[in-house]
Amino acid sequence: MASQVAEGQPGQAHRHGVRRTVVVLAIVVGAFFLLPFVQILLMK
Amino acid sequence: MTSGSIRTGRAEPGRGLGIRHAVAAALAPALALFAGFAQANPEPGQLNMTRGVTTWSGEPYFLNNVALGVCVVIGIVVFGAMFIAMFRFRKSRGAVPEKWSHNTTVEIIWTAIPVLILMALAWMATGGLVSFADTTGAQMTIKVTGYQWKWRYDYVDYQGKPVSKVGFMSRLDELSDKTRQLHSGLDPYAVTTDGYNTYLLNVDKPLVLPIHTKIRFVITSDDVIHSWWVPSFGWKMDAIPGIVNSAWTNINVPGTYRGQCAELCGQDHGFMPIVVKAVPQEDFAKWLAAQEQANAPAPAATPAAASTAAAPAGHG
Amino acid sequence: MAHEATHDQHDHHHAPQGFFQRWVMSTNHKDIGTLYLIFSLTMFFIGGSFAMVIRAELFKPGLDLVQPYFFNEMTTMHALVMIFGAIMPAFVGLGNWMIPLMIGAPDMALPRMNNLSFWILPFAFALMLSTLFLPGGGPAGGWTMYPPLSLQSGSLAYVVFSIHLMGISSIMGAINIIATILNMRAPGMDLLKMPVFVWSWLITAFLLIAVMPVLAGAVTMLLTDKYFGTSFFNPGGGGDPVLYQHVFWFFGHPEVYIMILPAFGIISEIVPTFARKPIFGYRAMVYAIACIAFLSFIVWAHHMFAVGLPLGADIFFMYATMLIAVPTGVKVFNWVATMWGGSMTFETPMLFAIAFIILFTIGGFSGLMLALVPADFQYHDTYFVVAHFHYVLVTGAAFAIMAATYYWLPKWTGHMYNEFWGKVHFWCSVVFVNVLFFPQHFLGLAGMPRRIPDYNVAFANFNMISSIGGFLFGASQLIFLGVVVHCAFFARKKAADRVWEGAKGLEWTVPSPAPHHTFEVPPVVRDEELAHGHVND
Ligand code: HEM
Ligand SMILES: [Cu+2]
Ligand SMILES: [Cu+2]
Repeated sequence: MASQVAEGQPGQAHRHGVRRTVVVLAIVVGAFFLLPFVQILLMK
Repeated sequence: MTSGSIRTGRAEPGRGLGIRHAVAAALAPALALFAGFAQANPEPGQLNMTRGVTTWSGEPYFLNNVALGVCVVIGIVVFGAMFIAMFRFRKSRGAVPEKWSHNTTVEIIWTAIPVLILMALAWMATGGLVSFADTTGAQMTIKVTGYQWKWRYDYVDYQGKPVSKVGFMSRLDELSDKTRQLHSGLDPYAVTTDGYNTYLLNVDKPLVLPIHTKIRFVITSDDVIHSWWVPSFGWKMDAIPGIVNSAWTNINVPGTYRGQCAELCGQDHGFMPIVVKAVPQEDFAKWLAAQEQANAPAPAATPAAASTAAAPAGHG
Repeated sequence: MAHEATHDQHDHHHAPQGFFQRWVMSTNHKDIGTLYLIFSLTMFFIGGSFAMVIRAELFKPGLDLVQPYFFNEMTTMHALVMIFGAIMPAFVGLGNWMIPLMIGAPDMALPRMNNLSFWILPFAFALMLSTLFLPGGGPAGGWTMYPPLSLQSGSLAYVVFSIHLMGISSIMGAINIIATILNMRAPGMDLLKMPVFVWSWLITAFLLIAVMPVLAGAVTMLLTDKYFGTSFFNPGGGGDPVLYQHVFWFFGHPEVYIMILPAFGIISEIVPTFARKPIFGYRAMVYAIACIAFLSFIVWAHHMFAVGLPLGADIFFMYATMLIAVPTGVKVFNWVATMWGGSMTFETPMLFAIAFIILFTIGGFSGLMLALVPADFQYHDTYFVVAHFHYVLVTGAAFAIMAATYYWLPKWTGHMYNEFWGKVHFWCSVVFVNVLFFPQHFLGLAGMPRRIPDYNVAFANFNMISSIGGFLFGASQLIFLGVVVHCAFFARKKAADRVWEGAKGLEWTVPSPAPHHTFEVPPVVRDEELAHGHVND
């Protein structure tokens, strides 16, 4: 599997950038999921 | 050019009437196709929104016509340019592509002109919105409650005096209800009242209201969200459980006005119409007195008695 | 399988694995793109068959075919399937196929996640569609799922779970696209040299990441309200049903732009190609997309003008909504200016693109009318709104997807589709779609509410016209299916690498059909190969 993913994969440097992008975006996703709950609690 | 078959004899309140009418007149040709069809109730082949019959209902009608006219004009310009381009700049006519790909001046122009048009539209719409929001000074209050799948009307006060115990349910009339059953074999075209087809637009007991009276509606629901809508009044307002919304109307013309629930409320959402019977003030006072009397002795009004009493002006 | 990945095999369309390996285990952006597109087309026909039921029942007054509850299931499912099953996956499929090719990347940044994003979808939709066959039936409260009505449905949990799955799929897809565009561009492919399609997807992906989690939150609250005794939206327990609508439309309005921004990108690729002239105002096009995306977050309550908002809120949301018309107008004007002075030919992709520009603009016009609050008090929840969103979604989003299919199909399959039948498909579609939806404006103006199974006879004539248009439009899509299947399996005419004379961009520098692996070595990007390489505006 691992080498199959490696096919067409970018080099190490790219991978590093990808990892950072994904982490940041995942945090954004989490924040937006919580947004409606926070909003509703604040309005109570 | 506008009022069609309904003459209200009264201009809508709000700002900028002069400009509005000038704009409307300028757009008359564009609207001519649509303008002759303003009606109180839906008509076969109706093409445009109703002008309505209240002091305020001209606002949406006017905005609709102006906005439509503006869109038609912009459409003619833009699509016209497109068709000219498609004709002139075809490879088969030997057109050679130009190299340019931007032009600051025209870009500024076609950003600025829409902004100006939108500002004019926004200004007009704001006037209508402000006058709608003003529910003060009402001479009468009606409470409307939505149920799955019927409406309840309670008369709260009239001319400053509380009304006691006048309230009733209003639901789809029996003939429509029989006809609308799946495979009923009955003909929707046969459901008529006073020569009009009232299939799905008729109720057992209409809401009776006086004309020339500012009426405040307080609207709520007992179960899911519904929306109370009579097109001739120019607005709809959601009936939401736990929330009381308000709106107002002031009817100019006696008549029967029909509407429907406008928010999906379950399987019979299509079958909870609204019928308003607008009558002169004297008739209304008499009707109200009769209702109060009929309901006073027996706390729970019998539906049969109430439904005959509810028809003062030859309904049914 | 693991060893084959050394791929010293020559570049060819065929992949060396078996069927299961190739399609189910795929991590190849082209194969996954194909899967998305096939899935989308399947959903388009399933959702379309629901629409046929709706139009058949509305063919004439009186209930003739289905019970009202089933009718409501059909409207609800039609919308959910078309939005989440047909339009969105089609754009993801196009993005998967084309973004790496357009920016010179070997694949998506996260190929395994790509596989997962796709394979979640069939399960999500199987779950959702299965409710139609369960006792109690499917969801029938509208795709907007307003409580308290939606809480009355026995299938709520199924729908919420499948929406969670679709949301996860979309979010993963969006993360993948952003990571690809930001990290994997070939050297020399600066952000402001990227094709507009890539830009539109980058911005759309940010919208997805911001709003899909909000939808997930909203439906989770529905679930806990129904099954776990919370009262987020239950007035009996101190909750507020209107709050749901605010949260839903905070998702919902950006969602409608999620379904149109990639379409803007597609049209911005196709029009310059067939006008043989660079796009007018490249930067303005990109900024307009970004501007629309930003504004889409502050207009949500224009779907709620009838709930009794405070006056100030009505005014704010009205002005903000009207503002969107400005960047939208800029886009339309720029497409027209791109055509002006060009050297145009009218192959099927261009025909669809031109129809898009005109008919989407008509949908924008009705949108502008809807934004005027006093008028919306009349329009809201009528067939006028139905006409509006079908003009922007069918003749907008769906036409753009069809345009893109014709445009890139030769690159995908290596063969030309049949131009004659493509044109037949176009003319049938463009005529019948207007027969179908234009009369719905009149119905709404005359007072016909949406989401009703039966109506007064005054609405009979236009409903019948609309239904006839609907059946014919539906049938016309079988031509589309035929053209695509023919092109994929039976067509003989080989496609050139640069399929269209005026086409620019890296995707046209690889062979047709695009080999299984492309750009394993980053290409040398030469500005004159790009559609916008030299453009300074
Ligand atoms: C000029 C741009 C646009 C404006 C000003 C606009 C405005 C509006 C307004 C005010 C409504 C609410 C109408 C009502 O329910 O009373 C609406 C509904 C809707 N719009 Fe637009 N719109 C625009 C473009 C679009 C686009 C591009 C799409 C999607 C591709 C779209 C999809 C929809 C949908 C799906 C609904 C109905 C949602 C529902 O109630 O189920 N609109 N639009
Ligand atoms: Cu209803
Ligand atoms: Cu919206």
